[in-house]
Amino acid sequence: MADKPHMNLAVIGHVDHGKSTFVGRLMFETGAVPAHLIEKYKAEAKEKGKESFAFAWVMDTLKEERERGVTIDISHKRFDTDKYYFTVVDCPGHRDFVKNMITGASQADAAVLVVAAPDGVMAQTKEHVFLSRTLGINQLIVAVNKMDAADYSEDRYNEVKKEVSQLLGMVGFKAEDVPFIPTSAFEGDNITKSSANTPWYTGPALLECLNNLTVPSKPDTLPLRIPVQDAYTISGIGTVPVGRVETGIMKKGQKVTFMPSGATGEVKSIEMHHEEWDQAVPGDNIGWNVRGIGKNDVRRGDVCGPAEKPPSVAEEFTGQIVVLQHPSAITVGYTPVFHCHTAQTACTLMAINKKLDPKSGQVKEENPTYIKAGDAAIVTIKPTRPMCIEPVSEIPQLGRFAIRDMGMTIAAGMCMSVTQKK
Amino acid sequence: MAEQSSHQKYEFKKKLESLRGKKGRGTELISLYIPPDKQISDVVSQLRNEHSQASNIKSKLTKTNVQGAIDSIMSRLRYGTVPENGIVYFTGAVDVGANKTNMETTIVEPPQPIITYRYHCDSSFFLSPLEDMLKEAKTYGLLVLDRREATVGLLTGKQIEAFRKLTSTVPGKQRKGGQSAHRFQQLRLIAIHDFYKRIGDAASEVFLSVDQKDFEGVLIGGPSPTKEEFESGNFFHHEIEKKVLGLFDVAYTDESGLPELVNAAGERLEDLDLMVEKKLMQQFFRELVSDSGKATYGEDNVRENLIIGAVDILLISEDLRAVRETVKCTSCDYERKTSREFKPGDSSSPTG
Ligand SMILES: Nc1nc2c(ncn2[C@@H]2O[C@H](COP(=O)(O)OP(=O)(O)OP(=O)(O)O)[C@@H](O)[C@H]2O)c(=O)[nH]1
Ligand SMILES: [Mg+2]
Repeated sequence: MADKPHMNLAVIGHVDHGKSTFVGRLMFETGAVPAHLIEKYKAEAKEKGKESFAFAWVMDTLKEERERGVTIDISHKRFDTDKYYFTVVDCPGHRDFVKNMITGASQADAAVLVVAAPDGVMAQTKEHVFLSRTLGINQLIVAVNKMDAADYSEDRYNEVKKEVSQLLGMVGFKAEDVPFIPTSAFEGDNITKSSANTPWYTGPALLECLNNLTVPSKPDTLPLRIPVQDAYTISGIGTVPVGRVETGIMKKGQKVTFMPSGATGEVKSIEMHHEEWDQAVPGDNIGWNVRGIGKNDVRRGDVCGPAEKPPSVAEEFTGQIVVLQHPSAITVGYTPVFHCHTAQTACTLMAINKKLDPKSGQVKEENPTYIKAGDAAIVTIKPTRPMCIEPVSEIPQLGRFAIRDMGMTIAAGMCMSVTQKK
Repeated sequence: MAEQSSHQKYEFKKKLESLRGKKGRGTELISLYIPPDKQISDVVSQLRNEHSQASNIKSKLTKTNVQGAIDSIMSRLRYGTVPENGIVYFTGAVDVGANKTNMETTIVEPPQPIITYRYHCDSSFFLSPLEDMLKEAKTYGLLVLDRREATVGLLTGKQIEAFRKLTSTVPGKQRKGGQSAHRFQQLRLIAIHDFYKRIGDAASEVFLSVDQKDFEGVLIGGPSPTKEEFESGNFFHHEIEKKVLGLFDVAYTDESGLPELVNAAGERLEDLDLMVEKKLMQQFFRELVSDSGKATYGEDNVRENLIIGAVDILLISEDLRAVRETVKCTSCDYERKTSREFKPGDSSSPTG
């Protein structure tokens, strides 16, 4: 496995647009899931009157997901192309589970945006695109899915393509560099090879687009930082945190510290896709075991780093934010939810220091009383609970955040400086 | 009982705050609570009794002050009838600094009926019966949950407070190698059931600790399908079970989920002060960012608009404490008005 470069791929998009079916199809076509398993799922799903979800069941393994036909939590699976091996994260599209999508997307190097051709751009299409950009995903592939349900119409494809391109442009992706593919996850069109159903489409099929992705540079000279995505207690082994190495290198035997708890111990084992490794590098999605770490010392959102240079816990931090949407005004005292790497913490706006011109970055106003949609600003922020964050100038991977309130993403930002908690 | 307007409440609060700041030199400030059904003649005879007992006070100054205060109240009582909710007198020689005292009386008509007659003589005024009237008693139980965590809280008046936070051991999607899918699912269902039971117990405990006559009901929030499953499973104490008001879609299940739940349940809670205020603030902010010119802020702008009669809704922060000072020159036309903010209890704070 080590001879192929590794990529983390998130599959994002609005609820029911076919993300899980798409991932299931991809796993099937690349041989990661055997045909007999799909047959088995088909039979079982049919019994429940959910036959169309057979492919989605590859990723939707929870009982409640299968019963309702909705992805709730993220899960990681491996598949290979001839060039890369991928860890794919199937994100939930339902608005109530955006917080889980953020966790998944925060671990990705690239994303496939699935947009159902009959529907076009919907609320979470926008939100997911914005969040991906905010969380540092620079490579995107757009699958205009369910083409079979749109009569494989070239016109409809172009309409959706135009709509999505506009959205991408607004968020700062270069739409002309983003590949668009008309697909049917259900029928398998344009996944491995060009489909006869879309003779008007001359571009590459999905697998080729995946091969065309570039491996992001590995920031392995920065200090080690692994945001914890989850922590499992496994009998006989102990506490096993899982997460993606963002920066630096972790080696077996190294002394590491989890913040904010401060728990420190020696790395006993590192595992990725059920194989043991001696070290982990940026991009690796690992489970690791640390001697002497209890179940309450680690939870989602904590960060693991070297004992001699532990992750920063912010008493306060200053950030530069851009307000994407907000129905009214944002003032001091506002306490929305901040998402940073895998952490989710309510934070209070303590001061609005400067209002900036969002285009030039020039200061427009000192100490404004409020900011609103479209404004950029430098603000002082105080987490309501201990939270790990780093200045983007030092560790960019841990300095970006998204702000949510009222069931929507209202702003994005990056951390400029941190006042460390004593 | 008539509902108090928010302005009346504000004035009432301010009055209590100023009374709280007043101190006597000795035990010589008198608080007298007269319930609506009390006969004035009874009160007067009791006061006479107190007056004669006060003659035993050793300190001459204190004795004079206490008797003076009782005299002052008695003289006022002669004309008074007891209003609908009763009446409270706060009288005494208040320390005004620079080694001086000042005999002062404050009369309060409370917003709610006074229950018990009280005569209280101390170095400060006795305010707790009135302070209790300010407390919002109406309480809602809040619960947000998913498979991973749950938070239990209470909404009392305008206050949302988290009381318990629980995290589950329900396995996520990462299955340990070697475990059969079926067995994994069984274990998971058991873990979910246990978690719901823990949530039900913790929430019931918090909700039952509230005086049940003030307990309006329970709001449950969370993503589907967890909250529905929880609700249909009888995990609450049976007394609480009856009080579930509704289920609401909420994404967050930590402390951030509680305000989200209150918002989601907005229509159910429409009459609550909290929601009324929230709506007003939203309206203000919306006008503010729309550049309609219909909203303004800051003392000077607001005053200007008040003077020309252009104000429809006036919002004042409860925390605002400021005095208006006018500086006038006696020999020329010079006059200047300024506002100065202060902290209650500071030496510079204006009393009276
Ligand atoms: N006709 C057609 N139906 C599709 C296609 N892809 C998915 N579907 C159907 O759309 C429904 C939803 O598919 P999912 O894969 O569960 O959608 P999802 O995007 O993962 O949904 P969430 O995870 O809940 O956001 C299922 O009934 C699928 O069979 C497609 O290409 N064509
Ligand atoms: Mg799905």
